[in-house]
Amino acid sequence: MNSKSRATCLWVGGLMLAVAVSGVRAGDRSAGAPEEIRELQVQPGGLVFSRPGELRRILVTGISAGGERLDLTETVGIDPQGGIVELGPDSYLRAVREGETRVTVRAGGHSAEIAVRVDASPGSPRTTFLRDVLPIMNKVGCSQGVCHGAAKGKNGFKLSLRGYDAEFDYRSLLYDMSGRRFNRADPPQSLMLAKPTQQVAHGGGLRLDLGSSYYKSILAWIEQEVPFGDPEVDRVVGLEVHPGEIFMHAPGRSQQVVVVARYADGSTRDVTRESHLGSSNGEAVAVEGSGVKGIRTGESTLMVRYEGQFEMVPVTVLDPSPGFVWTALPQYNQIDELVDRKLQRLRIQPSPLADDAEFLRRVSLDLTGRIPEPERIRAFVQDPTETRRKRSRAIDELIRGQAYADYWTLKWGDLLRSNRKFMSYKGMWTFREWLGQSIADNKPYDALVRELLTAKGSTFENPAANFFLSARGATAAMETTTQLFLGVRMVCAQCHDHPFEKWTQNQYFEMAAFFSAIGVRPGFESGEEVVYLKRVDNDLKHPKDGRVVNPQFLVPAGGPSSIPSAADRDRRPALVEWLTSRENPFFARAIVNRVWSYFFHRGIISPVDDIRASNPPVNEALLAALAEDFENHDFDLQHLMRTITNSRVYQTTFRANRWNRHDDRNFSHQIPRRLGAESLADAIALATGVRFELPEMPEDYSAVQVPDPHVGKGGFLDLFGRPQREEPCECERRSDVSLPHALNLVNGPILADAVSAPEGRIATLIQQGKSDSQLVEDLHLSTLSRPPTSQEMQVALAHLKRSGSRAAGAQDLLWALLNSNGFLFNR
Amino acid sequence: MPLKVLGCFLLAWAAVPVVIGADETGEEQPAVAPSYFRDIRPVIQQHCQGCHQPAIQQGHLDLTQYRTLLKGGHSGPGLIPGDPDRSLLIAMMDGRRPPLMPLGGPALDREIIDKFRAWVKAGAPDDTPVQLGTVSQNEPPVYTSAPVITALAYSPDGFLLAVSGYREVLLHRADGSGLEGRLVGLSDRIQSLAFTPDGKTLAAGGGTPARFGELQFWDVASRKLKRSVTVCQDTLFGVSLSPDGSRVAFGCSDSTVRIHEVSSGKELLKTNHHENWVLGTRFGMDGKRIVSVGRDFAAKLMHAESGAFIENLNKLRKELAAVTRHPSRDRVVVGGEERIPYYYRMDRPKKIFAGQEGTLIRAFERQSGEIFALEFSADGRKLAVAGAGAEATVYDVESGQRLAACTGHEAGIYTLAFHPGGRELALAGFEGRVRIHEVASGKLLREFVPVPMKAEMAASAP
Repeated sequence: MNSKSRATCLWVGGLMLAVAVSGVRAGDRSAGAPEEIRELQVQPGGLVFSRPGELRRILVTGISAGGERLDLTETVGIDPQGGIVELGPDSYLRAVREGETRVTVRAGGHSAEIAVRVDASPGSPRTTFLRDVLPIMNKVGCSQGVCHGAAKGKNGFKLSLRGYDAEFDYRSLLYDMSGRRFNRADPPQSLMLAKPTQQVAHGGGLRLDLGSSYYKSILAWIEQEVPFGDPEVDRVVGLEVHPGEIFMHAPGRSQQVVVVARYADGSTRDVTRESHLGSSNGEAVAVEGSGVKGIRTGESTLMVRYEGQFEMVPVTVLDPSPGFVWTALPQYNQIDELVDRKLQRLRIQPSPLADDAEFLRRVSLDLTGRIPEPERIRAFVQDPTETRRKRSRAIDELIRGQAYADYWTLKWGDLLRSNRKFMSYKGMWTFREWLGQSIADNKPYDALVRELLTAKGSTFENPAANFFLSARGATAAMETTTQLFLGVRMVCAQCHDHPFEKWTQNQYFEMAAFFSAIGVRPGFESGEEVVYLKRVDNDLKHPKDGRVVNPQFLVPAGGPSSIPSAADRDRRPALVEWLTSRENPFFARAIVNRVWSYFFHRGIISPVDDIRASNPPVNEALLAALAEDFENHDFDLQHLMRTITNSRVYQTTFRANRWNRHDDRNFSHQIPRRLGAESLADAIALATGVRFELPEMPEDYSAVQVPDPHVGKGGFLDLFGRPQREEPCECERRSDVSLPHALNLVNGPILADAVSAPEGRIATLIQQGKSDSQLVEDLHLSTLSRPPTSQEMQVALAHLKRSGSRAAGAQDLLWALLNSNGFLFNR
Repeated sequence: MPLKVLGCFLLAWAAVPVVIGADETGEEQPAVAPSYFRDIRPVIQQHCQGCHQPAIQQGHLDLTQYRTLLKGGHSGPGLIPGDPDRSLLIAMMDGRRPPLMPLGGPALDREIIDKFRAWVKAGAPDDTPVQLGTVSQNEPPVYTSAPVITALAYSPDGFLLAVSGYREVLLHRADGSGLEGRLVGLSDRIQSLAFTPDGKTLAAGGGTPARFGELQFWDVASRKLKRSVTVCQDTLFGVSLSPDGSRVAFGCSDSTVRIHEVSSGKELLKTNHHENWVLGTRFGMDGKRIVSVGRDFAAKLMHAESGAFIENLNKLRKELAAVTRHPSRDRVVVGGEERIPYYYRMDRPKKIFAGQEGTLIRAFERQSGEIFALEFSADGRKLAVAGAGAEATVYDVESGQRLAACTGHEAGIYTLAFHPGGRELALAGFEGRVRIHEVASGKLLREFVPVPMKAEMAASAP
């Protein structure tokens, strides 16, 4: 570029800057109100280029008087003095020659200066497969799952999925078919350039532009005789992402990012364009090029990935409507404090407390799986005790009751797969008995896990040993253990390193090696099995090379001083010591998060059994505080539930206000959840006064008490999403609402028969000589768990009068109530 | 090749008026006919060739070449020069004839379609420049770095070692005393080399990846190319000669095994028994049968004259890359991805048992990397195996015992050859260096880069 054209360029750039800045101002009225910019900030501060020709991006942020940050990166004017660097595309700076200088950045009438240094290049730049070529292949899509990264490769050329195995990919490119894919004698003729540039036919289409910088990098690599690179030098060890947090004051704003990779040798490189960006909540925040755009009010996490490393950037888009005033609500415990802290920052006003009836229905369902009896509701609503104390007492009563133990036996039975299919009929009952007793005794969670994981002997004599029947074999036991007790899904890593996580295939087998000595053999009685420790053939061999794998903890923190080896027979005590240690970063967090999800519409991390760095909690402080409190109370599950249910956040109404109606992840109001299959069946039974038919169960058993999914298989419970206890996954229980559900309730015989049963609630009430208004009130209390409003009362009374018989009119009313959201949902 | 040359002239001629028209009149001309090579072909390469390429031929249509575009596919000729309205290619691009192309994607821009129309209207001229090789016998390739070596062969008299180069075969004196000649051809890569038993002809099989395959027959004495036959859309693999030297067999990327006559270059046989690329072939002792191996895991035995399939010699395990036959018996060794050389007889034994590989004589020890090359010594007593493991191992054929290991290589070995005298073994591959080892001990005797490097040439110049 000669000096004249550079001047023109600068002038045009300046013009664009002016237009763009006024554009920002003009946009103010429609999307929020950014104030006058007071200061410019440039990131990263102090640019160091390792050689001429290198490109690095800068971010320019304007800061308003009110502290609002506006991304001006794309509208900025840059004045590179001294010819050390020049302005490249997309506000990149390109190093021109060795030296040091200061670069002036201008935007919005302000300017800022940054220091820039260009180091000398030691000869020609070294291009390696690890550092240069593999990232390009990943970026342009060669190793995608649908292309050469498929398990069988594509068209005879196979790469590892998303390039997780650099060594394999290198060999595949170089050696497969005698090195036909590169051509050292005439590098531009190389097949690996001709194919993606479509100079020859390529099923994957055009992937590289001839002469692009990627093209040139690969060409340079071939010219330098295709070196692999040195993992001690060229491996990426970390990413730096700017900005570390993105906070937009209105939808419609955007923010560019800069990604810098740090290599094992300490050097860095700008990899913004090669990084993969993903938004966890695409409805609120969309990825656009090398940045994000706020679509609507909400939150998201921007995941930035590059060569197996990743970083998370929280992104928030605020509601720009004027008039928000934070109204403080009472805070009952630390939960309220931590939830409020985030809500206030996000300009979300939480809803107030639910009324007593709403609270009692919710807390009964959440702690016992049952709706309250009409008498209980009347008594609770009329009790003049101060609200908070009254509710706290109700919580204690519920936890002390048998219904609590029944309900949590069901929940734990789901997760631990208490199922005659795995455990035999007697084993399943034995296990259920043991589980029920553990819950009634409020056995500390760590003790429960220890008993399960270290169990051995007869499954009839030691019920906990049944755990190893539903999780048979070393890999299944390991996958179950990690998913249930750590919330970590390891299954992807069985075949290849986890694509979005740090877990490797080696770690998968190292963890499984803790269980490889466990054997199961038949016992004396029919169906009895014995869990024992094998003396021979008790090691685990790596599928890749057949070597014996030594057990190793997923993360070192919390492990005992000596880790068992493949020579030790029982490796489980050490595993449990590590698992239940307070240093273990997953154990307490996984369970408090799981329990939290039983009291709200979602976990603080969701899904609850997929905890990973790329799936961060919506409120880290809250999760950390709950986990710490749980540990400090010796893993007491009842204490945890008390803490949650006594919070204002839990007791908040489901009714939203104008400031929190978009919020579905910060617990500013309760969000209705459909009743679980068993709770729904029991609620219908309570409301109609007709027992829910359960084959093979004694008469006084409710649906919540059913021991396994073989009872009533294929019936109402399965239709409404009862888990089949085949997977150790929370996702097995479905709580969706679909047409078959509606049809069953509207037209199905279960509801119709129960409503009109001669020994049912309506018949009894009429027999007792209740008045019309008593009838209407009772029916409301037994379904919606609240008295009718005066309008509801009037409508209902009018209907009863109109009907041929009182019974028929009351049946219509009950049927309508059972089909209403107020009944079907826990809200 | 007088006919070919004439053809080239004609093509050049046809292109002349268009080019001149565009240049002379410049912007005054309202509609300059677009160029096939500059305007049309890149669009086709970008949007159409994924499906309409020789390897896939959706709708029996191949759009990679002007000739096949004109010919069209299932639905008729691709276009009618001079009449865009009746040309199928255009009707399917602008949606008049469903399905809209490119299939599943958005329609091409109006301007692009207009360009196609204008080109067809102008008679759809082909202005592809004649591909002039950048090298010729008089101007052999200039190397800045050594190309990988994919083929080695000793002449029957043991005097010459033929080595594959880039667009050429280099003839070295086998004793390492120097370069005897350079046989420069069209193909970028030479995948295999074989001398006829009389030593007069050198057959070379290769091609340019993803473009074409080529058989070259060189007169060894005069260093002249006697004949070139281009076949297939990719390089040829595993060239082998019949025992009498009259026929040549090879494998192709279209899964075929083909046999051509050496004297005429004519195709004698094309079989279609494999399901993936065929990478190796070998005739039986009497030349009546042939064994071929490929990426479909199979070692297939078939009649060399009728092409009839006889049987698979092996249990299908993993991809096979190489096959060689014992010099005096109907027995072959195959190897590939699984790293184990398997030794089979071509005839079934009298007693066979269900579930057993009756034809298997021995599985040799597992190698340290995938196998790319296998060869028997001339007396049939020794077997050399090499591959990605960057070493070659010599075995005693009768006992299966390891006799020697040839180490010191830094990367994969793609090819090897026993000297007819039986004392030396030549190895080469990724590194681009030829290494000669002593067979008995595995010791490295000498090594050299077979191509003249630019720096050396500059240094040797006065």
